Amino acid sequence: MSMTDPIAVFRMEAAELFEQIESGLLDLTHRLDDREQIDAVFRGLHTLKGSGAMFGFDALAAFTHHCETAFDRVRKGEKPATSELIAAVLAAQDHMRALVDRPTDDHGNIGDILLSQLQRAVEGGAPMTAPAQAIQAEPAAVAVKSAVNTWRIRFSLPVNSMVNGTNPLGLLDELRDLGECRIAVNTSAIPSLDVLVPTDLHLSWDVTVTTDQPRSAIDDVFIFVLDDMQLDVETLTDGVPAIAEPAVVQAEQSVPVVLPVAVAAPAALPVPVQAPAAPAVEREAPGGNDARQAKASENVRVPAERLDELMDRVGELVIAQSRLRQLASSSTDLQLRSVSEEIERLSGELRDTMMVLRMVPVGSLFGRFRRLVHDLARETGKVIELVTEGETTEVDKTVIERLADPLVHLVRNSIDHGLESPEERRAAGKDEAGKIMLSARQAGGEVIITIKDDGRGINRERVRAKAEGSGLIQPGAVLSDQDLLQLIFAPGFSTAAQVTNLSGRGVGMDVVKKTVETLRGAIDITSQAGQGSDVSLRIPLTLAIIDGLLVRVGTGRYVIPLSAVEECLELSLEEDLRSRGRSFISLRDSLVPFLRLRDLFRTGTKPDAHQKVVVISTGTERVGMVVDQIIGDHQTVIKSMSKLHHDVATFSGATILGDGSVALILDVAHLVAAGQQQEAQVRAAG
Amino acid sequence: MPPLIDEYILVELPDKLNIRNISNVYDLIYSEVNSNKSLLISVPKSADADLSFIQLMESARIRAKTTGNHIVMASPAEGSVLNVLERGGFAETFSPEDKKFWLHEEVIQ
Repeated sequence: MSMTDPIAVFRMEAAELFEQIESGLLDLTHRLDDREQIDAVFRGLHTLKGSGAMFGFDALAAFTHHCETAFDRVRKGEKPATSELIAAVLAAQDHMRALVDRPTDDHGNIGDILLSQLQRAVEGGAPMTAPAQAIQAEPAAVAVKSAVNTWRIRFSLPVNSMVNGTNPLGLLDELRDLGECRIAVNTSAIPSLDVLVPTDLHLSWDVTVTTDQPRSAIDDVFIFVLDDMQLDVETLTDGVPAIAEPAVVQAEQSVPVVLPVAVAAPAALPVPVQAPAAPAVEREAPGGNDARQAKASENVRVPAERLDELMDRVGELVIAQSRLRQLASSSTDLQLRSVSEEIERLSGELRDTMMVLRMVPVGSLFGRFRRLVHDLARETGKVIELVTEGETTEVDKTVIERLADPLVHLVRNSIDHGLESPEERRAAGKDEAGKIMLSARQAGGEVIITIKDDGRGINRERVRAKAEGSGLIQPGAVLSDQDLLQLIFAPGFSTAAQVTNLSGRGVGMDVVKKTVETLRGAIDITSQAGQGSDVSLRIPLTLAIIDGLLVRVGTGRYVIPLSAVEECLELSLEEDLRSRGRSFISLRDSLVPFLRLRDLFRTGTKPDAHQKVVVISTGTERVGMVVDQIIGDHQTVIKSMSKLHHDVATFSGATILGDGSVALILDVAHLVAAGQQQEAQVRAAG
Repeated sequence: MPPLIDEYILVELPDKLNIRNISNVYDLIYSEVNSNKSLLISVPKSADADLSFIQLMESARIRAKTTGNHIVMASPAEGSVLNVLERGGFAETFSPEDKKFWLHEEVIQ
C-alpha cells in the first residue's frame, strides 16, 4: 500500500503552522489588541500541540502547551498581548521548530530558559479590562446564554483529519460538555478493506444536544477544524429562558441589551428531538463553508520532487516533439505533418501548464523577512519598517528556493550597513523609522526583485579604498559608477566580520552574485549618499524550458532566449564592411553596439551574404548580435553545462535539437555586458 | 453457518491500535484476510485504540460480508476499545449484529 509517511506529513503541517503563528505574532506587534490575530495564534499553537502529541512529539506538545496557555489567557482577556510576550513566543517558536526537526536530540535547558522568559512576559502584563465595545458587540450572545435550546449538529471532517492530528473524539467530548447529548455515528461511508486507506477518516456524526449555551459555543467546539469540515447546525427548538439571568455585566456597564423575542417567551420544556417544529436552519453564510470545501477540493498537495520529475518528462517530450517536427518537415506525407503540428501544439500547451504548476507567489519568500526584520530591529536597536510589494508575482519554485539565502543576506546588509540608528536619522532630518522595501514585479520573461532602503547609501570612497587595499582594482583605476558599486559583489571584498555577521550562513555578497548568476540572472545596484540604496535582482521566470530563437553562426547552432530578443535586422555585406572597426548600428537614431558572434566564437568561416543582427536587451541596455542565419523559434529544454564547461561565461546552458545535436544557449546578460564594455572602450578611445 | 472455532485464523493485534500504528495493523489484518479464511481477532487488554481501529474493523467486517468469511472478536470490547465505541457514538447506534460482534451480546428477537 502506498502512503505518505505520517511523520513527514506532520512536519509539513507543522511548517505551515509555524508560518501561520509567526505571521500572526508579527501582525500583532503592530496591533496588540487585534482579536483576530490573537485567536489565530492561539489556534495555531493549539493545533500544533494536538498534532504533536498525536504523532509522538511529546516534548513539543508539552512545551507548546505553555505558549498556548499564555495565549489562551490573552484570548480570554486575563492578560494583555505585549511586545515582550510576542518576543518570548517568537523565541519559543524557534525551539518548537527544533523539537519538530530533531525530536530525539538533547536540547539542554533551552526550553526551561524560554519558558521562564515566557512566564516573566505573561506575569509582567497587567490584567486586561474588557473594553466596553466588546460587550456591546455581543449582547445577543450574553442574552441567549440563558436560553435552553436543542440543536442538531451534523458534521464530517476531511479524510485526512486524523492523520493531521485531529481527534474527532475530542470534539464529541466537547459537545457532551455543552449539555445532554445523543451521538450517532454514521459508518455508511467506510469502504471495504481492499480499498481502505486506514489513516483516512470515513465517519460522520449526527449529534443532538440540549444546552443553555449559545450557538457560538457549538462553533467554538469546531473552531480549529472549521475551515475544511462540513458542518450543519440547526435548532430543533426556539430558545427558551432557563434562568432569569439579567446579566450583571450588562447592568454594571450600562450597555443596553435587546433580548431576542424568543427570550421573552414563557418558559417551556424543550421540544422533543423527534418533533422539530419548523426548524430554523443555521448554516454557514453562503460562500462560507461551501467555498472552503470547494477551495479544499481544488488544492492538492504534491511533493516537489514529483513536479521535478514531471518537468523532466515534459522536457523529454519537447525534445522528441522537436525531432518529430524535423522529420515531418522533410516528409511529403501530409498526415504526418498534420500529426506533428497537433503534437507540437499539445506539447506546447502541456509545457505552459507545467510551468504554471511550478510557479509559486514570491510572497512565500517575502513572508520570512518579517521575522528577520523584527529580530534585527531588536538586535540593533534600529526602528525598521518593512514594506513589501508585489507578493503575488509568481516565480518558478526552484528560483524561490535558491533566492532565499541571497535575499536574506541583502536584507541583513541593508539593515546592518544601510540603515542608520534612530539618533542618526533624526540628526539627518529623516523619519526615525528606517524603511526597507522588498518588491517584486514581472518584466517580460524576468522577475525583478528589489531590495530598497532609505539609509545612508553606499560610501563610494570606502568601497574604492577597500577594493584598492585588497587588490581588486589598481589604485586610481577609472571605473564607471556601476562598476564601482558592483565591486561590493567581488570575491574577497566582504570582510570576515561581515561573514560572521550572517549568523554562520557563510554567504557573502560574492556568493549572492554567484547564486543569482547561476539562475541566469543579474544584479543592478544604485545608491545615493544619504538617500539609500536599491539592489535589483533580475531573474528569469523559469529555469526549465524557455522559448528560444535558434540561430546559426558558422556551422554551429545557438539559442538566444526569446524573451530577450527585441528585433531582428538584416546586415548586408556592404553595411558589415562599412561598420568594420566601429561595431555600431544605427537603430532609430540611437547607436547600438553589436558583437560579431562569428569573430567571438572564432568559427573561421566566411560571413553569409545576408547576415542578421539580433537585437537583445536586458532592461535598458541593448546590444546587437550578428549571426549568419536565423533558423526560427525553438522550445528550448535547458540542460546544464558539464562541470568542465561550467565557467564559460558566454553560455548559460545547452539544449538538444530535433536531430539530436547540441546547441549552446547564449548568456544574454553576459553578452550585453560585453557589448556595453566594447561601446565604453570605443567611446573612451574617442 | 459460522465456522467452528478451530477453522479461524487467530490474528493477535499489537498494543498500539491508533493512528500512529494503524497502517501496520491494517497490513497485519489484510494479509490474513487474503487467505480467505475466517479471522479471530485478539485485542490485548492494554491496547491503546482510537477511531482508526474501530473504522478498520468495520471495514474488515464489510469485506468479510462480501466474501462470505467471518470475522469475530476473541473477547468482548473492553478498555480503550469500549471507550472509543462509547465516546464515538457507536454504542448508541449498535444494531443487534454490531452488539454481537463488539460486545458478544446476543439479542433475543
